[in-house]
Amino acid sequence: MNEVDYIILPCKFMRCPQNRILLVNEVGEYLYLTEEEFEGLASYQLEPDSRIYYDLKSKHFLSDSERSLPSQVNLLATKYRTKKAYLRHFTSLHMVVVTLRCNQICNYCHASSKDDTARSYDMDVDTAKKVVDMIFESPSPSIKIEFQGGEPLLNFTIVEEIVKYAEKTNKAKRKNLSFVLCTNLTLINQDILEYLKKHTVLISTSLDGPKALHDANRIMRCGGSSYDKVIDKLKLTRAVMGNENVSALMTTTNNNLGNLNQIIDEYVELGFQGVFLRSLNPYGYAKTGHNEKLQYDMDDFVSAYKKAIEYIITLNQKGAYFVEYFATILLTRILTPFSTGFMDLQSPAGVGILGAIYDFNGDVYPSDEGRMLAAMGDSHFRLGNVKRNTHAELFYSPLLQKIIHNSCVEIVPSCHSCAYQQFCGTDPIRAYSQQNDKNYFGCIPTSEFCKKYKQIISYFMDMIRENDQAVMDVFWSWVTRRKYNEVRIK
Amino acid sequence: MKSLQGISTNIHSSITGVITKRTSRNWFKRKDKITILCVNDQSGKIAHADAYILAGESAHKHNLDAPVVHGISQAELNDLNDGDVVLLTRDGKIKVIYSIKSNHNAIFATNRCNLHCLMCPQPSSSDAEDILKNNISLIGMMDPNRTEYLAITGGEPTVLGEGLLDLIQECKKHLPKTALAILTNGLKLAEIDFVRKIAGVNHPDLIFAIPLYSDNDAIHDMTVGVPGSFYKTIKGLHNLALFRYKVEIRTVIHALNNDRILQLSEFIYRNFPFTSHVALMALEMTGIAKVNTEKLWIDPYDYTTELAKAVQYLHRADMNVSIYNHQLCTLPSSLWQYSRKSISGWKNSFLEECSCCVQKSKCGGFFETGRGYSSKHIHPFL
Amino acid sequence: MKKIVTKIEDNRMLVTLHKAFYEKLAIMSAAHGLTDSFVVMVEPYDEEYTAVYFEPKKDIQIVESGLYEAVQEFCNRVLDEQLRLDIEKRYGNIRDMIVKQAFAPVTEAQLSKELSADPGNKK
Repeated sequence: MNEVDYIILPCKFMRCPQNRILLVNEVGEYLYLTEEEFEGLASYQLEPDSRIYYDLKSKHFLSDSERSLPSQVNLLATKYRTKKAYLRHFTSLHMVVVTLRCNQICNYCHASSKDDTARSYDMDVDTAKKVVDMIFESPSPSIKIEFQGGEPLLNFTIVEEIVKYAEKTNKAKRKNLSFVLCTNLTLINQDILEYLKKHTVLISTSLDGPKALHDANRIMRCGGSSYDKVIDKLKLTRAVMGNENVSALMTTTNNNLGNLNQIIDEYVELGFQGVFLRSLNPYGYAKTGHNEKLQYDMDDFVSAYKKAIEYIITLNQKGAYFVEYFATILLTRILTPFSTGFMDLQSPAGVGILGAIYDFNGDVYPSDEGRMLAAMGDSHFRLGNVKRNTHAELFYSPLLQKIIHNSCVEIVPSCHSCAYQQFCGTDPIRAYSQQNDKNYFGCIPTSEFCKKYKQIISYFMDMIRENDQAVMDVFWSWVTRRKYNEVRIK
Repeated sequence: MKSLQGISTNIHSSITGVITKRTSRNWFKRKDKITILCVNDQSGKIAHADAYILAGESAHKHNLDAPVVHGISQAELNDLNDGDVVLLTRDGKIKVIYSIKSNHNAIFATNRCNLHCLMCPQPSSSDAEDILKNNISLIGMMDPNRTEYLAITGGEPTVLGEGLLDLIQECKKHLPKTALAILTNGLKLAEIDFVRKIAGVNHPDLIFAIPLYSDNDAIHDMTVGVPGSFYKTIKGLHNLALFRYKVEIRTVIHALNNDRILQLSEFIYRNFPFTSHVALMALEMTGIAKVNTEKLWIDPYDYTTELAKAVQYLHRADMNVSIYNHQLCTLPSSLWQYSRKSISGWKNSFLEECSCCVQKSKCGGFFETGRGYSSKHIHPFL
Repeated sequence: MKKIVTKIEDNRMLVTLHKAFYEKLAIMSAAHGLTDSFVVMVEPYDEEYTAVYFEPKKDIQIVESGLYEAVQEFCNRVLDEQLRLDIEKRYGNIRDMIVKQAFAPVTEAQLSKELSADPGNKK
């Protein structure tokens, strides 16, 4: 048979169950082919007027004329630029650890929190001002300052100082400035809430489910349950701030992995619009000593995650608007042409270039994981300190450059040819700490990180391929932030 | 456009003017506009005007020197409105080129075109020398307070080159509150300098309505008759987006492309997510389309499954989508909310079986020009 | 006739691949994907063939049929990796063009001129 004159545009392929081959290109467009169609493509024998030929051409998997190639490259370039738009403005998320002190001592805490009287772990005014100065050196037109800890409310005066100084600095800088307070809510009161409302500080709290599940992991330092306090304060917070300004996240551990539905029910009942089903970070208290029993096998996590997603889908179909935030990010990458900035799973990784963290003493790290490693004795990822280094020394350092360079999926062995490349990302810091790779690549075939994400991405791709209309309606409702009934055509 | 036939007197070459129905002798006559007075059959003495339209046989009664068209019925005269702009021809035609009550007013910028679409309802021809001049004065005769929408169409408006800029400029000057739509195939917009020049005019409310017939060049180029058009149109769309212009993408569904409307919808969302509106249109069987019936005709009922999938996809992606030129009885009821009454009044007609249909007032109706080509599945809802 | 897949010891397999058809890089990429369960060694076998040795890792329990299955899987993977290499060699420069164009400043690029000179390394 004669060979047909076309060229194959850059793409990745993956063999899937039922003898299907998935093709994905640089801009996240995807197509499933049968064995026969794939062989036809690879041996240049597809019929130029067949449906599959048109599909491949329209999604930029092949190009068949000298006239069309420059146009297709232009289109692909525009779409590629769109997908990488999150890189455009550099560091926009700035996490500030105002104190290491905490009045709780949660089992999995990776802040390695200190006793609530240990004031030497508080950020002081001088450091705080230098941190804000450094933050405003970022070229990003949007700045989000996120207060973390320990428990930030234990050093609320510094929170106020930072807000005041940032607002003052912003009068000249005129950036889009926003604030988030990450708090366990137990110490919040009317005065604080009114202050937060006045300065439009959003609240992010932690809720691990109904009382039994929440209290199993999230314990008061002085002993006793935290759940009742949290619920109580949540009501007060909502009353002052409004529902939409409070969000919550949870951490899965062996204690609650089998009960995700209960946690979801709790969130729905309390009026949250969504949840982030986070897997356990292998840092901090979760890794050391007696809390290894919190750990679970990654396969178990994925299994529980899938069941939870199925449950959440059903809830949406029954009328509730409730999303899973990580799923929404993945679906946005697969179904839409748009960019998603998500530090934990990005290529190049978001560490430093999307977000950075400033410790109570002014030390700067590209991510919280880097800070945790330092707290456990390995300061490899410390970029420097706001009191001693310039912005360029921190954010353009050879260290950060190497990390970012080696965090590109295109050059990580195994990631380099994976079809999920454009939906996925890397975690160079985890590769260093979990797999001991001084070059930050990690080893993908044995990586828990890859195991988790590959399975989850496959799960969503399978559902998209099955194309159940009611499920697709839910997915699109999450991606476009509309209710299920608005998306459905009746 | 709407056209009436009467008998002309004293008309040596076509006259364009604004209709007025005032009969009082004290009204103020604007010197820069040609006024055409409509006179009822029963009128006595009439006021001074540049030209007249008379109902019935009253021409003899009034003994006018000015250009006159007479012999139309009273009903037809009543249909003309104060502020309408008409063209009176030597052979007694009254062409309504601007209707003050309509939302579908258009400027026919040119008869020429740079494509050869298989389904072109308006075959191209050459332009009269003064077409641009006439259009510019037409714009000047439109009422700036009562013209919400205006389209510039043709032919292909961009073949005018700088002439198009003049039209846009005139609209900006004389009709600053009017939303202007340019209906174009987008080919010339692939030249970024041309788009830059349009941007230089700085019209406050401009939208470009551009047709795309397929998600791939083979079918699109076959439909428009010129190889290379697909990729030029795409470049044009992106150039417009670069200058932040509002863009609407239209497609006409026919036998060659009806099996890929879903793929086209995906293509639009993935490549032109900035599109303000997508219009999925049925074929108008007139002009060149009639010559190509064999190639093009498909019963719209036969592609409703694909159409429904396309609409579902675009709706899910939160894009504005409309269905034009389809009858409600050929569409599943779930799609009725997207079907618009897109056929302008004077072009619209219904079949006999529609007279008792309870959905008639909501239905888009049929093209008068498309007689003989309607779905086998037309039936009234009782 | 040389056997492509041979069993050497109780739980050790050898695969020989002809150099004319299977490049070293393709073999390495395919082997890398199996390093979660196997210890894989790649060596020259003779002038024409490359040898790949498979042995399950210490803590992996595997039956003989499982071992053969894994090796068959490997052989298929090498074919895929070779295809990837071929495509990359012919068309990899297009991806470079896409990325370069994507991050070029917003002016009319020279790209069209570049592309019409070399539209991918056609076979």
